[in-house]
Amino acid sequence: MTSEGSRLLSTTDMARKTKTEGPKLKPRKYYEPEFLILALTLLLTLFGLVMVFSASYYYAISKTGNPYTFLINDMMWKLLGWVVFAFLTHFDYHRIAKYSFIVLAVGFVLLGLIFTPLGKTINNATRWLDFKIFTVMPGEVIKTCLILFLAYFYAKDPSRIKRWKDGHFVVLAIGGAAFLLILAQPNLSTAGLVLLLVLGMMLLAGLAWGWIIAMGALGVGAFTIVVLSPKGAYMMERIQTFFDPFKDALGSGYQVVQSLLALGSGGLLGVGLGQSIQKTLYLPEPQSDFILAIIGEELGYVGLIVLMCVYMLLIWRCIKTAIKAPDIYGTLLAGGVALHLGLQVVLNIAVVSASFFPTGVVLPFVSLGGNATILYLAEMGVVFNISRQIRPPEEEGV
Amino acid sequence: MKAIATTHKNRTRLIFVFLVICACMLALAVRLGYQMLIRGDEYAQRATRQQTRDSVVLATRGSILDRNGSELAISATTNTIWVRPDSVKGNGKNDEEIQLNIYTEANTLANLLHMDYEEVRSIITSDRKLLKVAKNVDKEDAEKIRAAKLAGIEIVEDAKRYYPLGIFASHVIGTTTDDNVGLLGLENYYNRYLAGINGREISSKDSRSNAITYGTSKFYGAQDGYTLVTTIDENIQYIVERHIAECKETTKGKRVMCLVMEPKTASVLAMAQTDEYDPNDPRSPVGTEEDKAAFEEMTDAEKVNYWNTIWRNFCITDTYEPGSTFKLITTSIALDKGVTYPEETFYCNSAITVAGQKLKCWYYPRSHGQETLVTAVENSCNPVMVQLAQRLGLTRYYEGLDSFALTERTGIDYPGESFNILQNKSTAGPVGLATMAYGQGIAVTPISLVTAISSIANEGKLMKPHFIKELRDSEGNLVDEYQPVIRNISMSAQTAADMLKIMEDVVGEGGGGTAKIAGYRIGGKTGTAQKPEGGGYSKTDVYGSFIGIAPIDDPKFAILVVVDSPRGVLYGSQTAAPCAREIMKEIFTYMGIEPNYTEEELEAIGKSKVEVPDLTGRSAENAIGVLGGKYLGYTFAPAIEDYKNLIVTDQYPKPGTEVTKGTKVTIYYETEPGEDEDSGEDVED
Repeated sequence: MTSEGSRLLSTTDMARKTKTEGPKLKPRKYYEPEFLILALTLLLTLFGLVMVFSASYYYAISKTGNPYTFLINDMMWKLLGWVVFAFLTHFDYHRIAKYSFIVLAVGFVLLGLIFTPLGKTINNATRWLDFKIFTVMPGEVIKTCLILFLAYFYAKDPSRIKRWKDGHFVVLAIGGAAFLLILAQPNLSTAGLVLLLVLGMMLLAGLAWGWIIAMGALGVGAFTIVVLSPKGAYMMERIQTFFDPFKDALGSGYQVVQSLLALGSGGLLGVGLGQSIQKTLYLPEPQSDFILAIIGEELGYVGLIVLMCVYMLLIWRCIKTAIKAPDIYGTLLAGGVALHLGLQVVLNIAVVSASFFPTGVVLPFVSLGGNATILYLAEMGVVFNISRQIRPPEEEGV
Repeated sequence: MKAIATTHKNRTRLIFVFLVICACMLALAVRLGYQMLIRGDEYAQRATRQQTRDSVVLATRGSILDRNGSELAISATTNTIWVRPDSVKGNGKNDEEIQLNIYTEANTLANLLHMDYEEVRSIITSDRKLLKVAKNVDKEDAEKIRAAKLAGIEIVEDAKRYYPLGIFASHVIGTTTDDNVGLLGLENYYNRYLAGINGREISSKDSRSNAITYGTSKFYGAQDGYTLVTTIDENIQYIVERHIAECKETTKGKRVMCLVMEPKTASVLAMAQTDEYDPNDPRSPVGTEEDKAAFEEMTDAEKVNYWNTIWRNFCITDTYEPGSTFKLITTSIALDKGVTYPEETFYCNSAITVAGQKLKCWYYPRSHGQETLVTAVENSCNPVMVQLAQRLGLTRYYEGLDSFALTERTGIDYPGESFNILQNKSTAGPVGLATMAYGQGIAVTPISLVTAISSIANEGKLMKPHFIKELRDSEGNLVDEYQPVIRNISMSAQTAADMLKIMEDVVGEGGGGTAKIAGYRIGGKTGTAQKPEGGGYSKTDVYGSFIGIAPIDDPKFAILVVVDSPRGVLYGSQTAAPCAREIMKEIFTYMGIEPNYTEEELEAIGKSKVEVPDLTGRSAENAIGVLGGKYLGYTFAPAIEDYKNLIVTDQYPKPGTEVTKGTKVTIYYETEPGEDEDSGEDVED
């Protein structure tokens, strides 16, 4: 029943592909893309704009006098992000492979620049590069770089996941270097996230279960030893204190306390869009890492559950794209993006709900994320391109 | 790069990763549910506590006005300037910018507030969260500060009580505490009407306490206090205050007080005493420079004592010995109970024996001889008063005091009214009754005596004295108007008319002559009573007083002047009566009461000469009073300081001689045989 439509689409795609076809590449055939990825990403960015404005306008008035300061900033980056998205949907993902080393190199150069005068220090941590017109967070950039590189690395020779010499050693060296460079900023949370991302990519590439179980066992074992050790009780107490923001509600716990107060004020149905009071200079920088607290306050628990479902649906569509991707490179790219998205969302909610130690993790597409927004949308552009190359079942065997 | 197919293993791993993310999200959904739904109320309450500010909306305290609407007490708005030192640094990015911000702000504030730069700087760089920079800043300066848009500066409006006339009628108006609560006087008595009801505003604020336009906002408006319109007449009060200050000066008395009342309604027109404290600064000492220096030396406890002394309203919260002025009460009771009549003839035998005790007339050892009731009052004859009281007996005499409501408080709208100190009815006995009849051994509040005497001018209707005339709301609408209250009938209208005539005669013919004003019919009675001192009576200190009603044909006011412990001069006729005359003169002018001269007076005015009256046999005070009535002065020969107990034996010029007005008549005298001064005997005219 869809054969006629599919054929029509295929014909036009074929016509266009013939024109742009490069000498090194086999002709690509585009099929019906995963429109839900486009729709959900668009929905999230638009929702993000609304929430950034709602969360930031009061703070913006106080800081700059102009309520639209952050809205305009966010709109600019999101528009740029969508331009990149649009470009990448039409850019055959296979062509990215040859830039893998350059991308990785750029990522590491940026990480290295942190230690030059370009590095911008805020609160004793140098996490930003100041290019005068805009700032860059190398810790954000390296994540995308690693996804692109590792997907290429394992797709080039999937058997590398079984070897140490040209496999684990290389990956752990690269991942370890990134981890240490970010740790030196210092930025423990991003470093940890990078580590998780690298391990996740290895998992997707087919790391033996034995290793996975061993790592899990190692983690549990270390924790058990610490807890059972003579100082275990004390350690537990320290950990609890660390996770109880109310112990130092006006000091280190301030932001998380304010986040919880926002969530609590929201309750089941929220106080209504735009009606948050916690954003009136109580919760610091409400438009960025803690925007979820303001969403919770304004739209309630129900709003957050809907938002989480949207994220899960989007992640699922990325996973589905990864499963159905034409080749292992596409699988690892789409899987890496899904993993990245999942890690960001989970960690962000964990911090906001005081389930994890307070750290700066951006909520993709929604938070005011500066140029990191471009990276997230770029990743989605790649996934969308992969989804366009998935042959529908009825065309299989053609 | 050649395309390598995705393996089943990769797909399994993808599903695994997805399931792990799903599990995490599920766990977080539960966690969020716990934080938002289970702990939500607790967090929400905590949030509300930090987000809402409960502020008081101050009600404006009502004004106090005189009967004509002049402002006696008003509430002025002042501004208090607060600073949040944390915010002063502004958006300074480095230390240099911060220092500049602090310098600019301190400089601007110091200029606008007329303060020292260093002082302002130390305040705005304090490590406290919020503190006061300046208070009582006027509107103009506050506006300038507001316009300067300084970081961390907050301007709060405060109400301050202000008494525009300064040291004026302060014992009537009273004053307030710093928190605008009535402390003394009418401010205290009518506090609940004046204070109004504060409102409250509960509203959401941002973390810098700025109002936000949404969120919780409950506003309970303040209800401003009522304006109290008093019966005080600013002009009469002013006349009174000026003259009693002058009187204090000339008589060298400890203090002088005066009370002017409208008899028909018992409205207090003026009430004053020396020295009035400053209601704008009630804790600063009053009186002479020495008094003020002494105040500085006092301990805190002594200061509190001192304040309680200077804040006391003598007319209401203190009692004094009325002396001969009380004879008017005795006479009224006797006339009203029908035990005598004005023309009845009495005989003064210089003393009267009561229950074996000899009670002397002040005229002792001479006697007034035969006299009518009217002349007995003119002569202030003690034995006649005793006879009247004896005819009445204890029961009827006390009934009379009851009808004048002297046995209870007047119920005036003023805090801390004292009871009169009368002889106990069951223990008074015949001697107590007899001495009470001529005003000895009792003490009354000035307000109760004036109220009682006012009933004579009101056909016997005894009114409840009061200060309140009206209550108006903050828009000036009438809320309540005081309706005069008749407490009792003290005497019949006929008795009242007889008493007025007697009182007029006292001023016209008797010892009250120093209160006489040509062209006006004034009734009154002077009194001089020794002050009680350590169980007995003081040899040097007296209360000289004059109580009067004017004009007799249509009484417009009753007046009482009391001079406490005058020096050099002694008698009510020398101290209180001349002061009362000056006050009355000005009140007549102010009230527009035209003089109506008798033929005799016209003649006296027409002629510059008057006939010298016969003074021989009179007491010194009586003689002075009579001379005053004829516009004549006096000198004693030989000169004497204490002429309390002397009797005129001769005079120059001789009686009947025509002399120029103002001529001083030389009085020759002999000293009275020593009286038992500790007996508290009346030393009257």
